[in-house]
Amino acid sequence: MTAKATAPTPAPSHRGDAEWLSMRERGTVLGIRAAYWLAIAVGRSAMRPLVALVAMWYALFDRKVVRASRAWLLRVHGRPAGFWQVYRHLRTFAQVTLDKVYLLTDHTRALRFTRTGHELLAAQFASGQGAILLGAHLGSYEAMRAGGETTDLPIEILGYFANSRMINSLLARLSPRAAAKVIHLGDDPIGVMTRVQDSLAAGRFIATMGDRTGLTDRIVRAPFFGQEASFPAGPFLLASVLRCPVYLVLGLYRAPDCYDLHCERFAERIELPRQDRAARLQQWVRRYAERVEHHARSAPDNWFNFFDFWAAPPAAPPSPPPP
Amino acid sequence: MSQTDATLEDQLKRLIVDTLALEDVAPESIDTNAPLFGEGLGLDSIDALEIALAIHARFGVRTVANDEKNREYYHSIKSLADFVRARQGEAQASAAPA
Repeated sequence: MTAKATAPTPAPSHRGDAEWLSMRERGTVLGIRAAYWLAIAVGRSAMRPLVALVAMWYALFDRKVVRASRAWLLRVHGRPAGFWQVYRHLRTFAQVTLDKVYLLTDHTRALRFTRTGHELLAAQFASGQGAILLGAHLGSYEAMRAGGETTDLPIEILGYFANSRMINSLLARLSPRAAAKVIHLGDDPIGVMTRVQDSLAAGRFIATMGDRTGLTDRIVRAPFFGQEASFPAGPFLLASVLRCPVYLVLGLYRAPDCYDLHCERFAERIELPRQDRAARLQQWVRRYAERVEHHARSAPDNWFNFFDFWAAPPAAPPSPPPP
Repeated sequence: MSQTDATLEDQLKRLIVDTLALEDVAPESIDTNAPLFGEGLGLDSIDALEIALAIHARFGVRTVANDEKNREYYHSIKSLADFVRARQGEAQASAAPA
C-alpha cells in the first residue's frame, strides 16, 4: 500500500493482472526505498498509525482494490464483507509490505516467527542440490528467510521484473549479507533457464510464485475456492525439466507481530511424461491450488492478489502458423 | 560425432522433434532458416531449456547463461547448427594440443 502510493503514474494497460504486476513491482522499488529510512528510523510500532492511515485511505478511495478485496472476502467467508473487514484486509497488506523492510534488513526484533517444516529446507541445503521454492501472493514470502538457521539460504527469485537490475541493487543494499537476487524472465529466456539450471546444480534455491501467470506463460486452469482459476504451468514444467525437488513455502502474517512460516515438501520430483503431460500437469497444479487454498482459509487477510483471480483465461495466443 | 550421414542441421531437427515430442511435425518439414521461437514452430523458453539440455547431452555443447547471443544462436536450425559447430571446433582445438 505504502509502496503503491508512491507510484503515481498508471501502468500501461495491456491486461489487468499484467498492469497490476508492473505497477506493484514498480511500487515495490520506490516504496521500499522511500519507506526504508523512515521505517528503520522510527521502528515498527511507531509506524502503526501510518499503516492504518494508508489502509484507510485505500479502503475509502481505491475502488479497484476494494472491489477485489470484497470479492475475495465474499468468496472465503460466504457472505458480503463489511467496510471494516475490507479495511482489515488492506491493513494486513500494508503491514506486510512494510514488514518487508524489516525482514530484508534483518531488523526483526519486533517480530515473532513460528516455524513448520524448516528442517526440510535446511536438509535440502545440506544435500548440496538446489530446489524450487514455490510461493504464492499469500502473506510474506520474504519472511521465509527471516531469522534462524535459514537466513543464509542462497535464494534467487525468478519472475517478471521489469526493473530487475534496480531491484537487485536495492536488495544488495538492503540485505548485503543475504544472497537474494532476482532473475528476470524477460531478458534472455534461454540464458535465464540455463542460469536457473546452474543455480540449482550449485545448490541454490529458486523461488517463484505459482499464482501469477506471466505475460506469455502457459496456463493451467484448476479449481480454487470452488471455481476454476488460471495458474502458470511454468514452475511445474521447470521442475520437471530440471528434475529438482519442489517445496511450498509461505509466510502467513498473524497480527499483530507474528509470521507463521510454513514449508512443506510439494514434490520430490515432478514427472511429466510426454504422453499424458497435460493431465499430469493439471494434477500438480490442482494440488498446488488445494494447498494454497488450505493455507488461505487459515489466513484470508493474507491474500494479496488484488485483481479478479478467477477471470477467464486470456484468449489463446495467436497460434503459430504451421511450419 | 560419428553420424556423418545426416547433416548437423538434420540431426538438430530430429533432436528438437524428439525432445519436445512434436508429434505432428516431421523433422524434414522444419525450415532450416525459419525462427524456432515465437513465430515459426512457436516454441517457448521451457522448450528452449529442454533443447539446450538435449544439445548438451548429445553434442557436449553447453548453452551459457548471460550470453547475449543466446537469442541469435537459438534463432533457427541454421544458427543453432553454426553455434554447435563453432563450440565443437573450439573444444577440439583446445583438447588437441599435441
